[in-house]
Amino acid sequence: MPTKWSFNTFKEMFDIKIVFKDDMEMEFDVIGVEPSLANAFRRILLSEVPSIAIKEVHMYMNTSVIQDEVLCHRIGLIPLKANPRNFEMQQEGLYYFNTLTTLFYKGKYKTTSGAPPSEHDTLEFELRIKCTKNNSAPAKTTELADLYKNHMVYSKSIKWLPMGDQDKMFSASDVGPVFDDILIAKMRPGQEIEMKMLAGKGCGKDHAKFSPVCTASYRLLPTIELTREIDGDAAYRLQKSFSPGVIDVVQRGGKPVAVVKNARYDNGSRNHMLHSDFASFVKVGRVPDHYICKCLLT
Amino acid sequence: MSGSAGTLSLPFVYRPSHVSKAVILKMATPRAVPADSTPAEPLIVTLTGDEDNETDRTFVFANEGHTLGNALRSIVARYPDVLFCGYTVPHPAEAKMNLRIQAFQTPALDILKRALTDLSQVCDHVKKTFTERVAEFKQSNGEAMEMG
Repeated sequence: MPTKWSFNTFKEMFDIKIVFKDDMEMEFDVIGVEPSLANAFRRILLSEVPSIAIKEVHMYMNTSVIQDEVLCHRIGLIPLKANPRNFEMQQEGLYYFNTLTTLFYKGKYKTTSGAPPSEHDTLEFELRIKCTKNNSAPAKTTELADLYKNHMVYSKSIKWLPMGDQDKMFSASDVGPVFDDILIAKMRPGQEIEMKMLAGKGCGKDHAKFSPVCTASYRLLPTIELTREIDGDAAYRLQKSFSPGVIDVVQRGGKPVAVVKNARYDNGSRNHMLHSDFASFVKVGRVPDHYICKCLLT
Repeated sequence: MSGSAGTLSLPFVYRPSHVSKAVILKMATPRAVPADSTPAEPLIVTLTGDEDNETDRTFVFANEGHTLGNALRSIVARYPDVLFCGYTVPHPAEAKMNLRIQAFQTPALDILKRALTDLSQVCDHVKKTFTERVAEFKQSNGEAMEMG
């Protein structure tokens, strides 16, 4: 039965340990929280932390085999480096304000008109690419890279068009796509794509393209207890049945003995149950309030 | 009418004789309405049926779900005076969350208020600890990178 809740007991029990962090990935331990709180943080990471993604595409030319809407969908999913804290939320609604509607329906409907895209809430990008035949290709080659120029459209071709004062605040490397090698479309000579894109702020609840993490997950810290000494050949079999680094075999009194080195790396496979001679002496459990959380960006 | 590339601009403005020109000009400029200046629906409502006493209430939260519901429930259920606490999302297509609190003596609304402030405190503490730990990690790893 859980104890009565108090903020002070929570503060005493709570801790965070950062295990690994780089630009794309982070692993950290959260100790002393209930499952509901850990899950709430995970859900918020996935759906309510805003990020910037392309919201609107103005297609001027698309003679490639990829349909307009498919291309727009793919463009929307491209993760952008822009920091959402530097932008406001765009106003929802129509840009063009219909005076006729207001005059006749004033008071009946709430006329929230959106404002035109501004430098405070929008980033503008452009993709203009044409596939051409490579006239200086070596004779009788079948390599596509030799035969054609620009036949693969990558995200590095997306150019940023700064609006207003944006070029003073940001540089192209601050706001462009996170990865340069995302394949958007494939083309053949004579095909052309020309489009302008408007990016804005949104959250994962609205569309998954706005989710800043590609996964945010957690698992409980495993515990492994050996209720009897496991030695000899069984020790090596026990070591093999767990992931590397979990069980260590040390020499004690002239014979190899299994010792739990680090239960953290156990992947929950329960392979030790296959060995009937020591299956009942190995107790694998979970620490109920120690969460190993992992976030992978974009 | 203001507009940038891609917006429609009407060639003329229709104006009935009884509406003055000043009104047209005022309405023609798009007003940027702040996103949450006047919410259309209230954020928390109570369900009917519990009017005889103050200790039992079902609160209906708009635009919330398991994220807030489970977290609040886990805190309220561990308060000393609470007889019952449960939450539900009545239908996944509707963004509503019902939280029911039944207490022995404390009014349910007070319990809800206390839970919300406690949860807010918890989140602030988590955020503070996390920021500290990340800063420590960056510092210790920055030193390791310099040495190594």
